[in-house]
Amino acid sequence: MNPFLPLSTRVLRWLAIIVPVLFWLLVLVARSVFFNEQRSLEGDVFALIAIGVGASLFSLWIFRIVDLQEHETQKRSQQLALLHDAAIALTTELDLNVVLQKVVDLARELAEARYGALGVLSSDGQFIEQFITSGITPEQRAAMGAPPRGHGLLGVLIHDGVPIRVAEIGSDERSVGFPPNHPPMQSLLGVPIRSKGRVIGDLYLTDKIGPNGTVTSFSAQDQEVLEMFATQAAIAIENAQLYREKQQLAVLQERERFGMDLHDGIIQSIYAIGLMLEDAETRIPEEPRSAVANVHKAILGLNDVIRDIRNYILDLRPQRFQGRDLKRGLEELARDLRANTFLNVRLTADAIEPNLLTPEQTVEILHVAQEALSNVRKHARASTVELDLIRDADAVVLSIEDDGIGIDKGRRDGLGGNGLPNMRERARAAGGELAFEPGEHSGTRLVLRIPIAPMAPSS
Amino acid sequence: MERIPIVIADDHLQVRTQILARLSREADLNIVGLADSSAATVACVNATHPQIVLIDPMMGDGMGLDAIRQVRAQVPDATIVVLTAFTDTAQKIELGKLGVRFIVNKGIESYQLVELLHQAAHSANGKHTSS
Repeated sequence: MNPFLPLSTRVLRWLAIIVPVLFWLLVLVARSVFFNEQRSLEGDVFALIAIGVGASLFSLWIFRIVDLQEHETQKRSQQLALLHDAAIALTTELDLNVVLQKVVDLARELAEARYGALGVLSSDGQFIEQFITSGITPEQRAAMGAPPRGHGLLGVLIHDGVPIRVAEIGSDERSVGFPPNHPPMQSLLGVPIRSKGRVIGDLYLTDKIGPNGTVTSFSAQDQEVLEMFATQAAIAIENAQLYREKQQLAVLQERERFGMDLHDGIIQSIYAIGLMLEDAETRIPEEPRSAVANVHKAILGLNDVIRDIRNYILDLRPQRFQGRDLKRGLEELARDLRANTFLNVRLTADAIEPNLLTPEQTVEILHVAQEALSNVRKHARASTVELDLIRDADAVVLSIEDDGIGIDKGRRDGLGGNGLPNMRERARAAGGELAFEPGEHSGTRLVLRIPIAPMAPSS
Repeated sequence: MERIPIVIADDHLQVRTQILARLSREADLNIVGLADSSAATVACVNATHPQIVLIDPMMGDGMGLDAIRQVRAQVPDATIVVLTAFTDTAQKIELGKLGVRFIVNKGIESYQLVELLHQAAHSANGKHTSS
């Protein structure tokens, strides 16, 4: 083991001064012993002091360099440790939405950035399908409106697939500026997320926070670390996507089986009734009374079938919403929708304190959501549905917005039979109210607002 | 006259009752057993050694295909006729692999069912195969 290692930099610093001086003293002594020269004391003292000063300056200079390098190495080491932690954190998560949020939160931490965002590309790689942010409050997000479509600097990242590092966004010629209500941003660092050679998304951070708390630009080291992280992120995202596909398949299979069981039962019943009538048919000439009995049985049987079918249409799984918490229930609805349609379904949900809503309220809210989603599926001709569950200071708000053809006011209240009055009833039963607005660019937004006692001061 | 022994296996009560009633009116068909589950089917077929097993493999216990497999193994002379609400391609392939050559959907007219049972009985004697 290297005998010099246990010595701290401080000790080395002093040694750098003392050793040359001592050595010179030794040389002095040796000279006077072996060479018996005529020496002047002043000359020797002067030489000694000169060496002392020179050594001190040298020590100061060289150890300053060592200090800086050590500092860099330490920082580097810390970043790698963070990177390692981040990678581990990612591997524990299978839920795609959670993984995506974690990716962008961790990336922000790694590079000490104020804002972060992750864009997941559509499978054709042309535009951003999902957009997850970190460091922006929900209000800011809502005020900003639609997520970026991949123009300007972001577009460069998407299309060129190479990392991008800009000190001042405003003065970069490729920038197309910010949309209204966008918080101002200065420095930018973006890296593509690649899986199997294909760009599946891009991760970008803005406004690195320097050691004194002000905004600075990102360093080459930040870029390197973020690129390494992007590799981890790619694996985690792919994993989560595969897992979700697997779950969707399972849901589909279950529904298919369930549908088949149900249809099977109904067909059986109708077949049996057919046989009964066939039997009655042959009895009519000889034994009309028993024929009548058979026909009667057939009628009863048909009524049973009608009841079965009606139950199926109205309320597929009546126990469905019991005992669910609101967020989980919405996730399930979103998952079902994704599994059974081509709709792009986005769900964001604030955490809701466990006993804030009664189970009855939760069930009513989920029913309203289900009804609304069913309407979107059937009538809206939308391509995207966004569900947002927001915990405001004095209310819980559920917003469901689609980008379809919208409903004009006149038709709104006459929507599909009992659909709309039912929803209003349920909203009222939950102690809230229902409102409809036109959507962001097209389509409809449904807002269910349930007032709650004001939030206690947050911890 | 030689009557064709048949076991009816279906877990739906009304279907079982009605098919029994209908087929009983055929002079040359003899219903020797009724089964309402996969296990009951195998037991019944082992006990009665019918020529034809008229079965709906969509049993509530989910073991219908298994029952067919066991019957084919234990009573190979019995011809299986599947009468079911619907079959998809995957199921047809499965049944084909098990050596089932007669598959019909419920909704078939009864006289057609009787004809099919006759066909199945004759094919069992090695005269010809038909689907």
